[in-house]
Amino acid sequence: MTPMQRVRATRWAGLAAAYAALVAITLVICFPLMWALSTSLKPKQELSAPPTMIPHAPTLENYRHLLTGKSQYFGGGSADYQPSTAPPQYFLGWFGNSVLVSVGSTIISIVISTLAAYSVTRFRYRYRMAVPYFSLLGYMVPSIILVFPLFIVMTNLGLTDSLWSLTLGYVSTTLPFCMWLLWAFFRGIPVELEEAALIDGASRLRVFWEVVLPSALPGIIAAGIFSMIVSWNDYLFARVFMNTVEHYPLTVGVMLFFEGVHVDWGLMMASAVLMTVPMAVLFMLLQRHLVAGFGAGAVKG
Amino acid sequence: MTIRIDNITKRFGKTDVLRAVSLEFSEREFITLVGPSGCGKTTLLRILSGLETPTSGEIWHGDRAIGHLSPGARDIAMVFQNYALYPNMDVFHNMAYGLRVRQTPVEETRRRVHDAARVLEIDHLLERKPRELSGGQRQRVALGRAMVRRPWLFLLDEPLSNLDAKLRVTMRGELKRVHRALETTTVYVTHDQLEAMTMSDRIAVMHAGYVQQFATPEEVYRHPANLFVAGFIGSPPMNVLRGVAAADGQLRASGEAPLVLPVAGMNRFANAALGDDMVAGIRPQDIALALSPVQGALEGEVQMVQLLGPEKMVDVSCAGRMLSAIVDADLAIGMGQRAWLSFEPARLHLFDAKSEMNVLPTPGRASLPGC
Repeated sequence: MTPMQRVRATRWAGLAAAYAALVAITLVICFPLMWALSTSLKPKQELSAPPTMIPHAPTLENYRHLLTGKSQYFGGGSADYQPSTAPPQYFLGWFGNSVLVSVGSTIISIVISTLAAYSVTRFRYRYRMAVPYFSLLGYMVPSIILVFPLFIVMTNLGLTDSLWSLTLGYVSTTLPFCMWLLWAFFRGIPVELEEAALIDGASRLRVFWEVVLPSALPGIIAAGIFSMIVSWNDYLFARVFMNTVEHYPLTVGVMLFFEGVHVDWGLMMASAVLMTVPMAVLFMLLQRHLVAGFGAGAVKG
Repeated sequence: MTIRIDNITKRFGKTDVLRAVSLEFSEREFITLVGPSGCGKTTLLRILSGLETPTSGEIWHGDRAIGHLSPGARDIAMVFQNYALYPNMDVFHNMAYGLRVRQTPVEETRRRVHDAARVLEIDHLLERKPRELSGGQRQRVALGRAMVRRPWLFLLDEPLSNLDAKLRVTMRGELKRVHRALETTTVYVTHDQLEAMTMSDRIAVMHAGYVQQFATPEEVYRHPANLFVAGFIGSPPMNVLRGVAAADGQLRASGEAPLVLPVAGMNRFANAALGDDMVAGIRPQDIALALSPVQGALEGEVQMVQLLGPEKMVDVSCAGRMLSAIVDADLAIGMGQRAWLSFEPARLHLFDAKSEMNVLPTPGRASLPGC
């Protein structure tokens, strides 16, 4: 081998090893997802059979049951077993609750944290730096410590078992982090952009709306996605705050598929897939706005 | 109409950034504020723009006081050092933004943007986003955004400092050309004395919150008002000799070995208030260097020779004082050689050591334009 060939061979070996490692990591991470998808497509009889990755007779029946709210599996169509609750009939309601609560808390979080972060980066007032640092401190406290004090607050407000308790609860956990993230983001927006717009004759509000917000969009989207994911995936708050089955969000509701010894894996996995899809779609839609360096070119690059 | 900056001061906390700055210039002039960083030149520009309010003082446009108007109400335009193009808008909308805010009719807006783009040769870039432009192109867009509004005053804050050396020379010419075409009054901030010298009708040299001198480039160069201006304007910097006294029709620089400056006939200095503690200054370009003895010249030894391209800078030590001279690059000269330095008395500058002010009368001041 010539030295050049040796160099090339070494480089190929390195690349191959890197890709092998990436494929392995991807497989490990994706396996649970793929398993959930596979299980959700299996008919009931196949679940007890030796596990296979590819269903022998793929079916959408699990999904149909979830979406039409029929409860055949509980009781297998016979009268000898009727569970106290039949989870599938609530599925769409839970889904709606999750959407309402996540979207609501995200909107509240984003509006407040955007204004707060802008204020902290652009205006001078006493103790203004305390805001981002204390908010980060707040974020460092584990939710499990916050959940019971918050529960007492919600009880006093008379909000327990209402979707408002969840919305506000999620705001309390996501707002500090969104605020911190946007604070860092706003600091990166050159103040000259705003000054240029002021000189161009725009009012402060107009500058904020037409120049600042569009420049901060990637940060706002990142904070929004973060907030959506946290609210969408929360189990703890929902478990503690909510009592009525109809008011559950998806995470808590899906646990009802463990009905005593009776676990309906097909429905459970179909729910898991349906829970993942909205977040995945959201992420794919917004991903292109997240590209780093969106603001590059505004000032010297 | 004249633009009058009247006794402006600006204090940030306990720091006086501007102390009683007054300038007056007329329309169509190209004024440069030049000085080292921290001299207050950018603050003064920002006060003109309205982004900063003065602690005291007023700005007059004709007989209208504008010192406390909001930036948008002043109808001026500013180009920022980092261009500050709106990243979410393409070039067209960047340039049209000010017109849109002012509710200019769409047709008119389009026409003005296209006109400005043509002048700046960026009409093929109108649909690009700022991030897709090179530094020079961004610079032109920023300039175009200022032009389309047809303001009565352009404020330029070190607009060339982010460009590479070659592009800077091109854009310098471009700016000058645009100014000549539009004849809009321009205030230009730079720390680069070469930019100030080449572009301006008049230069305000600033230092420590004061305007040190406000005059034409020629006058600032030929007759610096004080030691600071003398040292700041001109490259390489002026040679400075401290401890100079006038006696018996001669100038003597004290030191380990007293030096008699070769100024034949002191009649130029007849009207000057010469003291016995002065600082003499002479530009390296104004020193003639000879390799053989010259009557009345300062004799010294060559310490260092630097080739600057078309010329050489030669450092000569004369009686313990170091003097730099600019000579032709072809002159064969090396370290350790003897050299004789002489200069025209008219090229010598004399400053009072205490006040640092120029003690010589301004040569032919009345004939200089703009004064």
